[in-house]
Amino acid sequence: MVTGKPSSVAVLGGGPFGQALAQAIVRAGNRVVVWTRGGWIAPEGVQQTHDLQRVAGCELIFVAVPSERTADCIPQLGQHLTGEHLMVHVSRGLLGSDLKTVTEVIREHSPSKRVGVLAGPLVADALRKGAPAGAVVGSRFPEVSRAVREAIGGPKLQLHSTEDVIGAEVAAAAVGVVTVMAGLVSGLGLGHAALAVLCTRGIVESSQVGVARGGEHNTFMGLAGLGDLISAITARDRPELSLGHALSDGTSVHEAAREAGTHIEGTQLAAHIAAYAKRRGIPHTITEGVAQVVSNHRPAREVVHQLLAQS
Amino acid sequence: MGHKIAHWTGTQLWYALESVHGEKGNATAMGKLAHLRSWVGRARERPLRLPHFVPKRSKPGDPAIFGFNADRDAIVHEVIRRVCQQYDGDPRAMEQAINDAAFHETRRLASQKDLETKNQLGFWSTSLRRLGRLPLEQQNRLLMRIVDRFARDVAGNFDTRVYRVAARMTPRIVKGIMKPRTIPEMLLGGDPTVVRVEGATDLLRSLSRTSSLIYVPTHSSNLDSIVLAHALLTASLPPVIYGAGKNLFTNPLISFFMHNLGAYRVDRRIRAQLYKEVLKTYATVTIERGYHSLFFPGGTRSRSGAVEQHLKLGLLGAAVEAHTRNMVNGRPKPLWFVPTTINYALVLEAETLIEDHLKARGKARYIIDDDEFSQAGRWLAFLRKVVNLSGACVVRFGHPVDAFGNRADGDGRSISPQGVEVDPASYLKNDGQLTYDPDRNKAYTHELGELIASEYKHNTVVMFSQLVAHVMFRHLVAQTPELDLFMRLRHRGEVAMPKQQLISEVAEAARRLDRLEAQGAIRVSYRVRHKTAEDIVGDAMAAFDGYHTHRMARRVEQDIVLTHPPLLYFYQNRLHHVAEALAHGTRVEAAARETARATGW
Repeated sequence: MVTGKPSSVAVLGGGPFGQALAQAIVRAGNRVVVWTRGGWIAPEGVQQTHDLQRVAGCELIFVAVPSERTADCIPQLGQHLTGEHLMVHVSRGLLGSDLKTVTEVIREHSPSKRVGVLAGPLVADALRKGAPAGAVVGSRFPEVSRAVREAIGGPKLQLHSTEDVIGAEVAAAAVGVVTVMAGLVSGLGLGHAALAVLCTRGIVESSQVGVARGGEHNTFMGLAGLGDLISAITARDRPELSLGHALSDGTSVHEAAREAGTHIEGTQLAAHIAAYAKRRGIPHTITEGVAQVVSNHRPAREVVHQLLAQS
Repeated sequence: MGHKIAHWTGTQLWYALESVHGEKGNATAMGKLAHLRSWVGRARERPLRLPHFVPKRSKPGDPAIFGFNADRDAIVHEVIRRVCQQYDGDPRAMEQAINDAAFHETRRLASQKDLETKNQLGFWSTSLRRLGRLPLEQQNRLLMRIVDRFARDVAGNFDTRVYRVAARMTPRIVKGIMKPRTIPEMLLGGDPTVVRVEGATDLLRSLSRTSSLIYVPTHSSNLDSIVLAHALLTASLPPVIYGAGKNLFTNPLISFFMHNLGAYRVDRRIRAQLYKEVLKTYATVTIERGYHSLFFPGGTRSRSGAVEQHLKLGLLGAAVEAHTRNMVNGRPKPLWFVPTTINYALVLEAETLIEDHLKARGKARYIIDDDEFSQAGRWLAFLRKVVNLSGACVVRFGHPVDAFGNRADGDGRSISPQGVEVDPASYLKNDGQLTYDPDRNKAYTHELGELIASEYKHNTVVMFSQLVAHVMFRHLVAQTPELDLFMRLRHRGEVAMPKQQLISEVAEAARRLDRLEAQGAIRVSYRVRHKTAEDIVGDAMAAFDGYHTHRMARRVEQDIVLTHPPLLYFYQNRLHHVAEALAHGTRVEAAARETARATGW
């Protein structure tokens, strides 16, 4: 990407976050193409398309589809891609019991190698409005971070970069699980101390899983982990938080998910992470707790009180 | 000292004159004589090369290495030029580099008590002493002299006549060198397959005609270089330029062949930064010029016996850089990396290696000087044991990949993981333009390293000795749940396994290995695939007794007593990434998981 020259960026996926990304790209002075199934009223400067060829016409492509859809979309898109493309995903999901990440899916199902993840406390709302925010780009390729900065960067958006891609991806997913726990705790009315204890333990546990997966501990203590978690809890509008709230009084997960509204990355995620951790002898009490509540195995009150009682 | 100058060797005289007069020493009559004598002295130290009485005739289609002789001086000059050029305009860095080289060499040579020391210490200690007072131009010249010295020490030589002779003789040479009396017997007699070669040999043969190949094998033993040279010859693959440890050149006959087959000498004792730069530049330049090459990304022999997983990225990075530079400069000769595994039923230096590992827990801190490899008697004992074991060593060539991790197809095209053809140049483009980006190359190198490490696992060939050692060690772990690794390794002769149980567990493990092979997770040797568990155990017991100093297991009536756990641990480490799968669902699953975790590199 050449600085200053408006270039064409593609966004795969027209959900709320994809739309917000598109708006941020336009605000930064670039052209954008959004690949989406549903129709939406695209704002000025945003082009919609159903044609993957047009997406492939852009050098930088943001992948903003839910993680479980990547297994379909990426191979299709991959047919049109070469080694030239820079692919950055914004998913907070991991796939399967091996905790496969979306960059791994991209590398497996397309020729693209210059991949990255955009993680951290960056929510659709802030992106859309251009409100002060920060995020981290996880990529081994500095040019990917630069490209993201040029695509969506603005005076109020603080973009950091890390080479620890896997760590950033696992952290992003883990924050979702810990946020569910936060929802359970506040739904049960257990107060700030309980919230602090379980969230902190949740992040620490997750970092051990991240390290086992090939990431670095520090990444979990940065924007991708802790930063995102603080945003999730204080903003009170994350779907995982609402899910936790709903589950705390016994609602089934399907009901709760419907109540929460938008797509929640993998209600199975907690179970997968817990299984992964168990296989490797890594402590996973918080994650296991969430998994048990989500699967309706045990009531939320019992699980959370037990977690708080442990020393 | 005056009249004794006449008694000095030419070399000593040359150095003395150099230090006193600088290069002007050559101009005087004494200087010229000294120069002549020193030439003789240096020629004596140099590897022997056959004189050329007949002009070389390179046929079209001959591997590039046949023209290497003519190219060699150009390569050495290019290496010297590049390394020195780095210091242009940076006098402080230059002074530091010279100081670093002189310091390290002085220290190294001062602690060695051999002929090399006498000849070289003077040069280095003088350089070190005088460096501070030298004006810039003379520092520059000193830098060139040092780099020249290093570069020529490293440089190899290839002689087509020797290659053709070696191609016919090597299997016998490998054995015959060690048993000189039997050379006639070897030349006349049959030749059991000590080294088996498998893998993508057909593809490599066809690729080698139009592409450069870089073999990146695992490293278990100092015999690897010889075994690889033999494997390449057996598979009719063209010769390669590769760096072999200097200790491989102590035997004059091996040295002769190694040097004349494209091996260059790597002296791992030399810590000087300039030397390392010379090595890397040498590898880079030869790759750029389209020669096939080979190096060990692990950097050193596996101390634990496990397949290396944390690769050094220095030479790999140099190769990626050379290749990308070629592509950006419009010389897009394809280049393929070939992950290769060398699999031994018995490892020559196993005892020293595992001891070092256990002492240092995986950190290769120092070069092992005095191990089995440096003791001639051990070579003979080892090879005598091993030559009677057909398939004692399996070299497996994995599927070639480009610098960006895409596999090669039969036509030399890069194929993406999806199975679609992709243009390698696209990985170097920004906005449609080919650009050279060192950060990007670093990232590609890192990923290539991870890919090779993964391919090592998939291309590991499980040998009968490793399989049996694994089952035995797992049993030891299962019998001693309260102990940690180090305590277990001290349980020598205290744990036994009923023979029938050993056989049935080996049979089960072999069955599971077959399934894992079908999934592409690992490979299995011919013997493990085709022999009964009873035979496999019998073969292993024979192998475990009679080569290593310590006997690994002993039969006592119906039991097998595990007499030397460290070696069992060493050999079974090769299976650590499938250990859990081999025991999944059985009563030894927990023990297997522990063996997998206990392995360290």
